[in-house]
Amino acid sequence: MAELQISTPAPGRAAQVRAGFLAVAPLWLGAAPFGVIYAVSALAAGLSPAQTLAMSLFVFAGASQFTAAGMFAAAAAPAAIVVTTLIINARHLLLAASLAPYLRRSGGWVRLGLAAQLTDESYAIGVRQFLGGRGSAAYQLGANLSMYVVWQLSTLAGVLLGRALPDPAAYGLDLVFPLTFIGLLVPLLRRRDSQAVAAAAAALTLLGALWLPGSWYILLAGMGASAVGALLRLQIADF
Amino acid sequence: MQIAERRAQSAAVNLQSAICNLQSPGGTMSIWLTIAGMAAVTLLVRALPLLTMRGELPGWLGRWLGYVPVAVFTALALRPIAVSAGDAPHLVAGAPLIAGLVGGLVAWRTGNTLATIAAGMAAYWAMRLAGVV
Repeated sequence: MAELQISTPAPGRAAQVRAGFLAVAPLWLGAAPFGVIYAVSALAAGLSPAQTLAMSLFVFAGASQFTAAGMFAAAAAPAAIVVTTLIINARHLLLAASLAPYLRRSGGWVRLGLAAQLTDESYAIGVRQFLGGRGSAAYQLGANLSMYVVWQLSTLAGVLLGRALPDPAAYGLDLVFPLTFIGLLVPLLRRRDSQAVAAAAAALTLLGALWLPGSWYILLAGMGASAVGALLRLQIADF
Repeated sequence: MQIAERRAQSAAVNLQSAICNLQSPGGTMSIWLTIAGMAAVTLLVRALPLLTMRGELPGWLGRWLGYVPVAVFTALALRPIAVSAGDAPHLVAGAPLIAGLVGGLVAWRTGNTLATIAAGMAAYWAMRLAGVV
């Protein structure tokens, strides 16, 4: 029965889906240019328009899609592309695990559906709401759908526009992604324990980004710095 | 005998071309299978924790996971503005890092994500126009 609650929402639930959807709207700005660019680079790598769209529909993970397009272009083996995808997206283990406590009371299908569309952006918006005590599966669903829709539309736009669009990085539009996360992170740093975790995460991020391949730095900082925070809480009572 | 031989031969050729199609990245079937594989492993890492972590979490795990957002946001925010992309990553203190600091200041004062992005981009463009890379 719990599974059905989302598909036939009570008014309150529909409002939460809508709120989650709209809360992600400022982040469309960061994602949309890269949906376009992904599509352009995938077409250039020899994927058909149908394959380019299918990857966005079924994989729905920007960084790994970019990487896959580059690997297709470099004639990499399929197995290598799949393993690289697994490594790049391994950070989702962490994001999903951190949402799990909040979604304990949701049904299995709800959790599977929310998991299938989890992204950095929708996780950030959804978990911020959970941290503030106002989160819900419906709000997370709205946030997920928001990113999903904009990613599909921007992929489609990229397929249609082809190579006509200029390189967004040349305009500094790739800065929108880190600025988005600065905007989400900084308001959480009022607490001393959060400041300590962020400092540890910054150190681990730099170490990982400089000496580990791919996006392992996210897992390293995500697991390492949060463990530091948990340990400090055990050591210092008033932390 | 001849027919059987030819049949076996053509079957072998068919099999060979099918395998080539699977292995060579250019083969359209292989692209579809690769996308299917990518979709499968991505769903796996997204769904596994949400489907397996049931019941009350132990206290230490809850505290640990509670700090994950701050740690992950820091990682996602910091690398693109402080570390160069490409084959030999190194620290860079340039316009992106300063734009990030300006954005951070605005985020601290306003708590508004959109204002943070606008301020950071404005700072970045001001520096680009002033010749700071």
